[in-house]
Amino acid sequence: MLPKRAAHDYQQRFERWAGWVVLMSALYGMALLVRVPLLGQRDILPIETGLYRLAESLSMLGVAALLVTFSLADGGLSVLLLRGARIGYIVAGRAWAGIALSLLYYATLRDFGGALLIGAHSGMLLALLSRNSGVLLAYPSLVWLGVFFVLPLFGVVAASLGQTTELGLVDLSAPSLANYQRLIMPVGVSGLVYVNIFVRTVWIAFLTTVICMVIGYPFAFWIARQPERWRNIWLMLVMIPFWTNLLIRTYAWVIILRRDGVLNSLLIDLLGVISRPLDLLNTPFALLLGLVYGYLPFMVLPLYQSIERLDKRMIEAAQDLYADPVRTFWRVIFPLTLPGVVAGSILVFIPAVGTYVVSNVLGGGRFFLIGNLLEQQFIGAAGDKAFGAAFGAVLTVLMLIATLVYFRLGRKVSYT
Amino acid sequence: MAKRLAILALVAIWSTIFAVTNAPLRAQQLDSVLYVYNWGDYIDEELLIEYEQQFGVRVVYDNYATNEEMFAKLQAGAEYDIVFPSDYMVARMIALGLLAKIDQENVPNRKFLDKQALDTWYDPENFCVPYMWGTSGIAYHVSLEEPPDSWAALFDPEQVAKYTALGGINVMDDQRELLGAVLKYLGYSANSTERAELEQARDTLLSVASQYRYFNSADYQETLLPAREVIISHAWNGNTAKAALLTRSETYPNGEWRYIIPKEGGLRFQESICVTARSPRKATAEHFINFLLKPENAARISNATGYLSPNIGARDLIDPLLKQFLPTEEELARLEWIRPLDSAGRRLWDEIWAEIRIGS
Repeated sequence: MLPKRAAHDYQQRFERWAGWVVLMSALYGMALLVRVPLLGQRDILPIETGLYRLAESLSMLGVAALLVTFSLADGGLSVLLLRGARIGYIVAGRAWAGIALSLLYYATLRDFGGALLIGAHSGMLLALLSRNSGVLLAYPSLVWLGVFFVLPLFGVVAASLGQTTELGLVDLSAPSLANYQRLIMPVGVSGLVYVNIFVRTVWIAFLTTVICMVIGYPFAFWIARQPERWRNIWLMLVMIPFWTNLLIRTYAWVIILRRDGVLNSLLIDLLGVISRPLDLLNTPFALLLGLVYGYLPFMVLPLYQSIERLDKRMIEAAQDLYADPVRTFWRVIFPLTLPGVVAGSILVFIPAVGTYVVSNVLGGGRFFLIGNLLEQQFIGAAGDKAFGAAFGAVLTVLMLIATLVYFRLGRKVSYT
Repeated sequence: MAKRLAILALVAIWSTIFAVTNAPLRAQQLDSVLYVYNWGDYIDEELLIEYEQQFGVRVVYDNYATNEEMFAKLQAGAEYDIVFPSDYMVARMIALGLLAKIDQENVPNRKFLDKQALDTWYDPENFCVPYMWGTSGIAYHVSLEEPPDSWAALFDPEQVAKYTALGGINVMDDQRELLGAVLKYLGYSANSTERAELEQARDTLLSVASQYRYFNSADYQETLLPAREVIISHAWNGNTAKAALLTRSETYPNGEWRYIIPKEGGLRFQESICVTARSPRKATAEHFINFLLKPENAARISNATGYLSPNIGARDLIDPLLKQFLPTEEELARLEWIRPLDSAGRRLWDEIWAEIRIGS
């Protein structure tokens, strides 16, 4: 336990910082005021209509007045805090009010940057008041995830409940689950078309993951067994393709695989094994080849990590107890490296589900996967954003569940 | 005030530079920068540099791949001055108040444009200025002994088998184009929303789709056609012209690719140059548009992209190779505009399309 004096100092330090934070908000509050008249007539995003209605009654003048009030109050609060007054509860109230103000400010003026500043700043106050350095350290990434992941996700879910209008906007006036219904309704003579697209994409991603594992595991094992100075060189070689853009690497495969490509001319002209060029592009083979090639490093690196950390004495112990190599592997080595297997599989599976570039370039557009469907709905001719959003929402939720289950699985086995 | 001062300062600087270099002085006061948002590969980019050098306006140039992408960006608040939407998107953007009406007096070079191109279904009030137009039909390799003349080359099982054996088929990965073409083949409108007609189109496509080598409407003119990955392709005229330009050789001085508009009729589209409603630089935008409409510049755009210009003045200046891609009056009469569908129609199309794509 800290001596009383030190504990007091420690608390004081957080409050000092809070004082500076509040002082800053007093200053930029005034700066934002200048922007108010400039931001008066902004377009409304279709998805924001609800928010807009909420703010319709509020005039710009009202928001300006609120900003002034906040700035003045912040000025006072900061002086008090910096002089060491113990007003934690008042500051917490100010922080929550600031978050509410940021929403209002955005609804009225549609100034995302300003609203983010007010909201994030108020959140910072709360983090400081918690007097917990952990929370404070995590705060920037929390803001990042909240703003660029959670908020947009809510946007997607909201849009999925609406209806796309003739003009390509999303109408949220009559929310319904119609888009979700459409996902699980049979279409024409082809049955559950959308479920089919989903299943075939997941199947391809699954195959990619399994192949990556089968290739990557022995490879990672082999690297881990190399003399120390060689390991880094091998790892470097694994990573080198990453220095090039995925699209370019994928097009390189087109040059290799196409009918008058490198591979065919090698087989025909140099080796004389075949007389007619093989059709290699646009086949499931090419698609899987491209995916495995693109994502293999994601599998090898985490696998290498956990294999390298493997305690050699465990293996020796297994051998001393007369376990044959197969048994040693399945009962000792594999369970111990399971964290790497789980991490690698997730890192491969998730991007493989979202594949678009690889399947289009190497599959010649013949494989219609989730990525294609989403592209069609959002920036393609179908242009039904609400339906696309429903598909996206279902995909996100299912991936989340799958990942959680998988993580749980990995943890259970590795510790028993 | 500060902005105006900045502009004045820039004007002063630029006029000094031009006085020194003896370049022509600007006739009017232009903004220092212009934000232009165009399709990829849809201009001669040298022109942008020339415009910057001649008029001292910095052109910030970005690309998009689909109308919907551009539309989404603008809606999300991107501040471009000039965009190049296609026909139906022009109509939609006008309806939503996203476009400003171009002042025709500020674009005198409009006089070079074909009157027919100005009289469109999508922009009766002439908010925008036509930029380029094109058709979709069939591209084929010159080595084919019998050139195709009908959509049957792509949709009749016997002919599909024949062309597959000869070297393969590419069709566009675009529901409006591909389904539209099948509908034309069956004798219907390319904008049909009749379930029975669309289902017939679906069945026609499903009976042949597994034989197509490619579904590519993105880069086939630069990848598939020049490399002869296919022998025949569902194609836009401009892209075929591009492929022909890329394959010019001593054996084939006119390139290796030819283009036909099938006897059942093809589809047509037109892109316009538009000024966005939110643009604070409308006068400069109009000045830039006028620059693009100069016959020699329009011809250069045509030569770089392979597409047809509605600019009559440009017709004698374009690459002779491109002239063979000009449709005749009779072919023109067979073309049908791609029109926007209503919500129900769009959903029907989308479902039919999904059925085709998972069945192929």
